[in-house]
Amino acid sequence: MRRFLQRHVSQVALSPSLALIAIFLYGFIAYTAAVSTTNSKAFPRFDTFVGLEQYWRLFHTPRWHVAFTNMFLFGGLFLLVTISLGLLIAILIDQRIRAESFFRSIVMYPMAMSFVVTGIIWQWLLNPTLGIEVMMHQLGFESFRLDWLTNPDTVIWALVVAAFWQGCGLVMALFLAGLRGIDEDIWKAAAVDGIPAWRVYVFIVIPMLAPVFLTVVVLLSLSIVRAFDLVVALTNGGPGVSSDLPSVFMFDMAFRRTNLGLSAASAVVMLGTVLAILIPYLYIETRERA
Amino acid sequence: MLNKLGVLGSVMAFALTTTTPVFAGTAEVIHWWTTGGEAAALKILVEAYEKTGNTWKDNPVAGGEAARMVARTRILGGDPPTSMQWQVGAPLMALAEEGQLNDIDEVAKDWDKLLPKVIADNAKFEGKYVTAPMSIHGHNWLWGNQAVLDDVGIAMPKTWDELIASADKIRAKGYIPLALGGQSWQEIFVFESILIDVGGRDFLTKVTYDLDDTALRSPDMLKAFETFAKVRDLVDPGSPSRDWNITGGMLISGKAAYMIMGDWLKGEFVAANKVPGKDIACEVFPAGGKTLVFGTDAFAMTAVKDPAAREAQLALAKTIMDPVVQKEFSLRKGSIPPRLDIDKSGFDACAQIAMGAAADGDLFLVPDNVTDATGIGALVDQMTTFLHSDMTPEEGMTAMADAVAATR
Repeated sequence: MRRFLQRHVSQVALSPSLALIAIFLYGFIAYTAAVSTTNSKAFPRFDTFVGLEQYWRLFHTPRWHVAFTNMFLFGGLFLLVTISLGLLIAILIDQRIRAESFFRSIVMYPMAMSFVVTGIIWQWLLNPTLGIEVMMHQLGFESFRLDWLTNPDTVIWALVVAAFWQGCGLVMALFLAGLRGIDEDIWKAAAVDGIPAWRVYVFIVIPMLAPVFLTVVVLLSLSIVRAFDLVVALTNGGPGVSSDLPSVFMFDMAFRRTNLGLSAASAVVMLGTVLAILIPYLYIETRERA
Repeated sequence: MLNKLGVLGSVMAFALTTTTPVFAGTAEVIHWWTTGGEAAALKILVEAYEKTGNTWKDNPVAGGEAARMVARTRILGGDPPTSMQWQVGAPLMALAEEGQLNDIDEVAKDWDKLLPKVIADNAKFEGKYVTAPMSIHGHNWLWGNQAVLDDVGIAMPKTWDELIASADKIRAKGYIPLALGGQSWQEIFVFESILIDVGGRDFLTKVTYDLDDTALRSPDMLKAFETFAKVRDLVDPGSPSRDWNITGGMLISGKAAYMIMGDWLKGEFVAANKVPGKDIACEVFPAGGKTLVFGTDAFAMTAVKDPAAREAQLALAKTIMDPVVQKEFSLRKGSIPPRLDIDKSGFDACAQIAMGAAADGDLFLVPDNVTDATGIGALVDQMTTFLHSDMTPEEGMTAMADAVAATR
């Protein structure tokens, strides 16, 4: 018995959590997939099997197209803005500046806010009859326009700005840690060769940060797919349905429109999207280890 | 809170000093009446109910959706509240079909004569009442700031053509023609009133109840979209996503001339010391449409088995339909009573118009309580998408009809 425990202690210790994951994660994923093949309304009913009809319906719903496109639009812009500015701020802070911890705290603070609070703050700031626009008018800039929130074509930018403001701190911290991990000798060698600092960054340091990039992209991508509270607080999907995201769509279908079948179908499509992001990452990770 | 303690205290004192009635029970009620006016109205109901010797166990949940979710979870968990606020019509029937409701016919024998037919029909499952209606709110009201209208020199419009024609004069004086909160649940009131304007009650029925494909692609529908497209120019740039009460403030303060909103907006008038029907003119819009779209506050009776709980439930149904309670409740809530035999004295001019409309059979149950939620939801999504885009009326009409067709 004792020898058995000694040999298999890790398996024994892990098995309860494995069982929980099997039931509550994979079990419910399977359950959701099963519901998506039924015509369930307010309650799940498995006697109403309709095959893949809900998926056909989903992709004939204009609002789903808006939501799905938005996820990539918002995601792409959010990744681009947050990574590039986050890296830039990290590099600036890395210049052995005075009061470094002060600046670091400023950038990190928004991270302590929940997305709901973030959403409401930016809703007020960007409201054209209440926020920054009014302030600029009062300062005398009468022609100043900031109608991102009320214009369906630009509302995605409002989401990006708010999400960036909240997520920048984390990205900055990760990059800063990565920069601090770069060997000092590289900088000394570059200085000896007389290479300008920006070239060292572009050709040597940033390529060395590749693993950090990967982590940042995966972390941000997951927050994009599950983004829900930010949209609800900032725009509630408006104007019209122009800032809808798949998670908001899914919630609406399940609880407001009492259409569990369609909602489950959209959840499965979202899961597919997450897997499409995760599988290449896991592939690269495991290949590197091997 | 102090009030509640006071009520509790008097109940306890009552229980200590008198003999308890044989069937005294406790009714646990889930509802979403938490704001000032709502709480004052609820107090009327609670006090009348506790006079019957039963106890009211208050379970308020802020927000209708949240409250319904709590109620549904409790029912699924086998521990239903005695009663809960729940809409009449399709949502009620869905519960009844699951066997989750008790009928209350014992106390509802004469309700058919007292209630408008549309409410009676939608409050019954297999011919028996399963809910008690407390109050009615109308949706397609046009409100006009009288001071602004006087300043511009116009009267309340009767039709959409008149309203749109007056917009230039209103703008010339520096006012916003229409205060609109650009959220889909507010915009649908505007759209519904346009549907009535274009094709009357029959057309509204075909579009919002039947989701009839022919009607959705008809010349009348195109006309409705042409009018709806003009609404884009009637509103101010801050309209998208704005909350209804802030939007109401624009009407009350005289920044905007008109607003289309349900009659719960009257609560905001009263808070600002404006008299509905005098400072703020009102009209079921379009006038002469003979259609008042309405929603009902009603209390569904769950399938409780315990005899004491059952008695408490029946007593609650009886109290809700009590003529005095119905009147006093609606006076405080700003609604109108569902009972048709309540005298109009004491109600404001707008409520009296609504009571007249109810008596004339003009009530039209809100499509949310009638139509398949996914189908009407697709219609609402396309309605709001159109308003916030530069689609032509033809494009808007086709997009809506296609989206609705995909839900079938």
